[in-house]
Amino acid sequence: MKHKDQPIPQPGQGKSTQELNAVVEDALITMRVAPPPADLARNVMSRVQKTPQMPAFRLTWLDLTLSAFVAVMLLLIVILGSALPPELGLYLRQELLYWSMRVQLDPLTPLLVLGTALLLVGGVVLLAGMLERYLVRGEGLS
Amino acid sequence: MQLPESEPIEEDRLVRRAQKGDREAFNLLVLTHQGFVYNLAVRSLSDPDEAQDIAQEAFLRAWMALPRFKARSRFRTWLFRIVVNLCYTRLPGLRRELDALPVDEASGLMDESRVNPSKAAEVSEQRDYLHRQIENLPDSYRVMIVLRYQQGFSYAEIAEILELPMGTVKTGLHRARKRLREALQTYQEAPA
Repeated sequence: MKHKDQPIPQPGQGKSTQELNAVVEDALITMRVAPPPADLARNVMSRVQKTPQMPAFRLTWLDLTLSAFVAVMLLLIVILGSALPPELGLYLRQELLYWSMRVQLDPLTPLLVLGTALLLVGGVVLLAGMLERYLVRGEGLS
Repeated sequence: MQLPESEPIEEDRLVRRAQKGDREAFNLLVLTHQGFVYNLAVRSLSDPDEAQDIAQEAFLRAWMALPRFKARSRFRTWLFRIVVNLCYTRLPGLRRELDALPVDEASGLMDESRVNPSKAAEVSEQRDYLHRQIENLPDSYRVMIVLRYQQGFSYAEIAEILELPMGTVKTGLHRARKRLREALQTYQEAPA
């Protein structure tokens, strides 16, 4: 006689892990594919008709020249800054101090620093992009 | 309309034409992939209306970005990446769920080649039950299942689409199958 709470055996009960895996795998493979709405392609194409494509990203000679110019200028500033005679450096600092007092340069200083930093970063990014494109990927100019 | 699976060259040609602005070629690509794109979206979002929006948006973005497509991966992989990124935007929790999966839990991964689906096909009741259970799985598992079993992507391709390490993909699929196996066991053991 069966116990009252004992589960009634179901078809496939007591399957091994391998068999359970097979049933799971079968269910995964036979999953129903939801059909797309009938007007999906038409709606897409009506939007596509009104939408232009984005041009491919290309670096031109102008990009190359600008980035090289900015990079070289920045490099010159750094080299000249460190190679100046101490007397000239002192003189320039005095001049800067004089003009900062005359035109109230102080509030502009953070902006100048930020602008220079942005210029430096922009130049370096452009140059890096150009080098990656032409040297690493070996692509030509457009 | 669908292009035969065995004709990637034909698809490459269509992609190249579409990249040059040929809308007719793009229309053929839409017709070929709309079923899979919609299906991935509807399985991820569980909302047919939202899925249709996502599918349309994905194709539109693909059209706009096509000139920048470098063909380093298959067009389908690239397209699905757009769909998944849109799903991430709609479901921020999906990205978090996927990121939370560990990378190194796939050691117990079952050997799929050793199963015998034709034998398993006899148990249609269990199959229907499991289909319902798949719908109840977390979004992250469902997305991986759709990519693996409905789209037939490799682990590497799924990793590329979801922008995850391959180990995470294996872990996710392993856990999803484990959950389904446990659900099946519970179903079998439950009193009628």
